[in-house]
Amino acid sequence: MLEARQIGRAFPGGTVALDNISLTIAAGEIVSIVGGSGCGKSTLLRLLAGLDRPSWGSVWVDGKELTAPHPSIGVIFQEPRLMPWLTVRQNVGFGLAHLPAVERRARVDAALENVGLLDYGKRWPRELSGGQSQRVSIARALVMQPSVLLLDEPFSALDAFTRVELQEHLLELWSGSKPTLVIVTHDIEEAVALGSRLVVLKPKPGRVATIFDVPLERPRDRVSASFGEEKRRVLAALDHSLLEYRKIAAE
Amino acid sequence: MAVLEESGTGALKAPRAFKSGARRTRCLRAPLWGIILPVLLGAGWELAVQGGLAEGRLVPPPSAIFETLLELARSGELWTHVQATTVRVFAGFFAGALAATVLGAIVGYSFALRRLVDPSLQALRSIPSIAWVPLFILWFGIFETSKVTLIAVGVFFPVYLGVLGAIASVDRKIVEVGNVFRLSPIAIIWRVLLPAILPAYVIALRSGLGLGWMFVVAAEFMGASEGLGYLLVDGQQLGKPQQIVTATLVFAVLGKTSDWLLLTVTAPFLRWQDSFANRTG
Repeated sequence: MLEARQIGRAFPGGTVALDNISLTIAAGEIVSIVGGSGCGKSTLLRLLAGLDRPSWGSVWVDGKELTAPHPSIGVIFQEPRLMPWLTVRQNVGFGLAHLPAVERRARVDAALENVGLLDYGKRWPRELSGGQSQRVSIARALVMQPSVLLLDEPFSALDAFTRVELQEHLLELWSGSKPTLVIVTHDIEEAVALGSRLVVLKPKPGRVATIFDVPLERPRDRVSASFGEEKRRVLAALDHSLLEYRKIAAE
Repeated sequence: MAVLEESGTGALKAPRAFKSGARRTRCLRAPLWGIILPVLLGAGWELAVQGGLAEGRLVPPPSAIFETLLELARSGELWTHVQATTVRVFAGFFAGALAATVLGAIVGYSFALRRLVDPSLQALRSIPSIAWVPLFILWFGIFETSKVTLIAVGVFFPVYLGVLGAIASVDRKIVEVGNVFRLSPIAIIWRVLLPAILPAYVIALRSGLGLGWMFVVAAEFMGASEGLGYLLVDGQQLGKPQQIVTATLVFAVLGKTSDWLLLTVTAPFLRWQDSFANRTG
């Protein structure tokens, strides 16, 4: 279980990026965090990853306070962030240096096969497309068998076709070991397609506007009326928070 | 139809032939271009001296240099000097480069150490390295230790600066991946920072090595009984310009060879680069 208790983050210079965010995320859940730019989405994810410390409040993982990156929390960034000097195999095995070579090889093979890139093991990152690179980055996180996977706008740099393909692929991978997924995104369709729960943030400072469940069955049909209805709900929530913000700004 | 097909294969073949031709020019002819000028100048000077147009005592012609070289090689003297100088350069280079890499990496990684240590090192850097000579002689005596130390100091600064500067410009996002995988500071340096800066590091090592060859001359000027620097001083004192020119030529060959060696040894580690030099298209 991953829990944020009234966390906030202020940066030097006084900007408050996040204020008073409380979230409880159950094991195996998929949570989409949506919001426009300036809502502190990425800041929130960095706090949940232990890459940054909250200025107030605290983050708890399985009953312990999070103070640094946690072995069972994996992170996938917006960019693949592969090490250009390592081959695809070596990149995937980056976090497995402590394992004996035989076991490492077996796990890297399995992870590469999961993302459909078994034949690409000897390639350099520069020889991959954007979608392939992001798959390698997913394999690098999954090979650690994390119980929580945090994704920071993971598909936003990809074209529309690759994006949908990788979203479906992510769900497929999730249905295996069911790790908790927390996905930060500004793409409403992505949020609805993936999340079993949706957290809508509002800006300046970033706070939770509303949280609601997405009652759609999986696999989800993106062109169905009920899917459209969920998208409208998110849009309405975002609009509402935006209107509210404008009103405050006008006063 | 047949005509069309033929022209089709012709069109396919033509670029391939052109490409391999272009590659041959690059591989074989490029070094030859560089040799033309020195060969022409050497031959011209040789002819001028042979023809009595110039005296050639202070600027010895190629034949005199070649003769000196042969003589030094035949007596075995050349090897003694080459070996003495090369050993000094390599010892100094390894000591200096190692110290510079370790310090550069640690100081580059740690913000606190950068504030604490870097200003002192920068201050030391502004001392002209030759100015260390008297002190080193007092500290380490007139034999090998003081010479190797001087060379190591010369090698240290370009390598240290290169490592420090390159680490400062490593992408923060890549280092963050190391944090997510909970690497220790040492592991971050060893597995992320040093590989990331490798291309810049090789350049720093090359300039360090170049300075190593420069400083070995200074070190050998300060009193040596063997080494190429000694040959230079000896040639000056005994009025043998052909010996001086021979020694400088041997320096050029050794410097170039060691640089090539460094490039060859490091090349396999740089294949990953998505760079202008590695372009495949």
